Amino acid sequence: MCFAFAIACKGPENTDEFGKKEMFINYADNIILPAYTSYGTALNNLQTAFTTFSTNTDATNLSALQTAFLNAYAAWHTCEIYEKTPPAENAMAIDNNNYFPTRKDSIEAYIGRNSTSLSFVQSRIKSDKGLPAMEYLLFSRTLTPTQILERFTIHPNAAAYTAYLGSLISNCINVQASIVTEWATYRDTYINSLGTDAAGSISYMVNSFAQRVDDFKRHQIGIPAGYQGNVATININPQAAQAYNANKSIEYMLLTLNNLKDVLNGKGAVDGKGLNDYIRTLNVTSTFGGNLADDILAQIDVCIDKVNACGVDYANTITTDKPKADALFLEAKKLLVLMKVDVPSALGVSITYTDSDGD
Amino acid sequence: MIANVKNFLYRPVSIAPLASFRILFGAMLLFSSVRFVAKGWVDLLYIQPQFFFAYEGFEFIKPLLGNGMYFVFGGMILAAICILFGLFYRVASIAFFFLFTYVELLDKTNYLNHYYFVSIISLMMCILPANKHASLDVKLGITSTSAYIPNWCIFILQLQIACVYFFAGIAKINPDWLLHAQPLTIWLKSRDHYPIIGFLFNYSIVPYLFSWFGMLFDISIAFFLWNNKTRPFAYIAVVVFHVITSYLFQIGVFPFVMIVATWIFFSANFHQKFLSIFSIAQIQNKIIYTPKFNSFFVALLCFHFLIQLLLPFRYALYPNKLFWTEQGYRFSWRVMLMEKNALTTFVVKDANGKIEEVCNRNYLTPQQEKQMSTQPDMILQFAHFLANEYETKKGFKNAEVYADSYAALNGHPSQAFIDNTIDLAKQPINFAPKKWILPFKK
Repeated sequence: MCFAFAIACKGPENTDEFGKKEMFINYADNIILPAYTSYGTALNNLQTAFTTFSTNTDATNLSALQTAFLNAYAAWHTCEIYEKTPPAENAMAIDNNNYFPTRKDSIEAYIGRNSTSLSFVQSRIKSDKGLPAMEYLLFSRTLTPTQILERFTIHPNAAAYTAYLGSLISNCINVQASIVTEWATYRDTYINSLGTDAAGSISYMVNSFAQRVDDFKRHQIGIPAGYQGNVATININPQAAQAYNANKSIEYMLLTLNNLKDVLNGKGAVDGKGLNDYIRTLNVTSTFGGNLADDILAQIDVCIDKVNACGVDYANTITTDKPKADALFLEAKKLLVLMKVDVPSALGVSITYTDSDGD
Repeated sequence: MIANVKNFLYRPVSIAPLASFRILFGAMLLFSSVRFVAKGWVDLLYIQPQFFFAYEGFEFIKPLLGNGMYFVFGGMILAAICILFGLFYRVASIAFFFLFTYVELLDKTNYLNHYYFVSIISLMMCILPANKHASLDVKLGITSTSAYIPNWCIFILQLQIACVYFFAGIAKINPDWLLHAQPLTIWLKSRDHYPIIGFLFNYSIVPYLFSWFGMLFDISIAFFLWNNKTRPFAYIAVVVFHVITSYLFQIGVFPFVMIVATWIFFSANFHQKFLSIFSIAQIQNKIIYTPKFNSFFVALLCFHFLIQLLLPFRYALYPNKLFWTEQGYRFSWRVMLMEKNALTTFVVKDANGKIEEVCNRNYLTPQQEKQMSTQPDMILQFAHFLANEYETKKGFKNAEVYADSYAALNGHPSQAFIDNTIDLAKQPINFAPKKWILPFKK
């Protein structure tokens, strides 16, 4: 090491062969902030549609509100993947925006006793709020559009239904705004923390992506299909599927996977450097025998195929053709192992968030 | 021959190195205990966890409730101050050893070789007459002063330090380290943005140079420290080596522990000069101190070093790759040899068909989960804990616990780690080879 030290003194000031800093600048400016901004715009549109609907509660405005909601929920899928970055984690982004299955009984109970204020919603646990709660209020597989509209018009608790929905929207807007605000100050730290330690940006990204794939496997696929961990049981629960009432489970799985692919590739409005480009330069072989970076993308594609094989209605697939859901679960698990074991190993990042003495 | 050994061990030597070591070691203990508390680790590691990974045979050792653990660390800090100043030294050194070792035995999660080293050295300090010079004990007349002590009092410290380096070096003689330069290849590559030396890490030969140099350094450094002629250069090498590793890797206080500990190799003259910096007077008397139970302690120490010699090789009693099974891994001075990650999830089943996946985070801290995931003995302990938890709190009958685990080691792709058809709740916790660890495949 003395030798290394000796030649080091003649070396250039700073090297970062791949361009990690450039990658983080790309993530911050080209991908993450635009994602939160477009989600923010979609939430504002939702708010506007909601205001229109609450002054003029009719079928046309309900339909417009539903569309605005679906746009916002779709936009959320570009933001969900940063859960372990400090701004999202501090704001508890997932808990506030997209935890499911939602507890419809509790929501009905709150509405029944007119507990609908914004501060009340803020204080509730994750399964009582966010986009899934709104989805439950705005869509139904059994009620007709007219009957849904009646919740907000002639139902004895119509005013409370409207108020709870309004508070849900406001809460999401506040959380989104706090994340954007924190990113403005955090950005400099983010693009300059190039290390693999617990507070390094690589650690945050790797941990975030792994968490996302874990949630994808567990919540989007596993829980509705009756998986308790890695064991399939006969206790399927199709209604626990994401956006069950609006029948968007499959569409959102595809959004999740395609977004994962884009983010790994560093692709936003322009195609910049991403984590997968960095992994590719390390020339690490995966379990499947190819370059880890390519095998991750290939495995995401396998998952996309398996999602498509499930048809258009995941809840229905679980009930009538469960082997298709099982096949999807199996492939998602392989993807999770790649993201949670192989990627950290290749990068020397640990799946933990604490600092410690080492040796 | 025996006469020579006896002469070597019992011949009187100056007490100055031991006294100066006591001061530096005490200061280091004080610094690291205060740092530990200041970092909030008492709460994080000993108050927050609901479950602790006991060492086999030490299951009776439990953390104190409430703020009790802060009193333990308070006691440690007080004892370290007393050691530093040589005040009530005997009581302080014994207290420090017991408090520190008690804390270390609470949870395998926090095992570190340098904590083990501190435990051993502080146990040795309990029987050494380190307060017979440059101490408040002498000043206050609590103990008498001496100029000379038997050579073994200094030699055992040197020998213990030599063991640390030497076995750390022997452990580096393995294919991953020498032939594939792993895990250094992974670790250095991700540090190519470091100022000044970062650019080096883009040359694939550099991790090999580091690996081979590290191995040779560890194996030989103690011998160079013992030799009068090479000592100054060897000590400079120690400082440079530890400063660089500390700069590159998150290894906490370990480098400073070693920089301080190797101080004991210097000559009596050197230490006398060092002590004079603190206006500690030259030793005037010619009193030779002979510890009580002199031969008894020497016999005990021989036994200690015999164990030190054997422990690092106990892994040979187990089948399969050591880094994979980690059977016989701890207490062997294996430092920074692995980049290992694993994903380990548990499923609990009962006789009535109830099934549940365990959310590890409900029971373990992130640090515990990470350590548990990669270490089979901890996986087994956690499985036993889960069986009990699910039977007593969730009404499971005859809970069966299965682990689904994938691990990646030193640049090899992930592979299945634990046999997921084995009910771990029924596997005994002991030192027998764990047959449910799947073999490592190249």
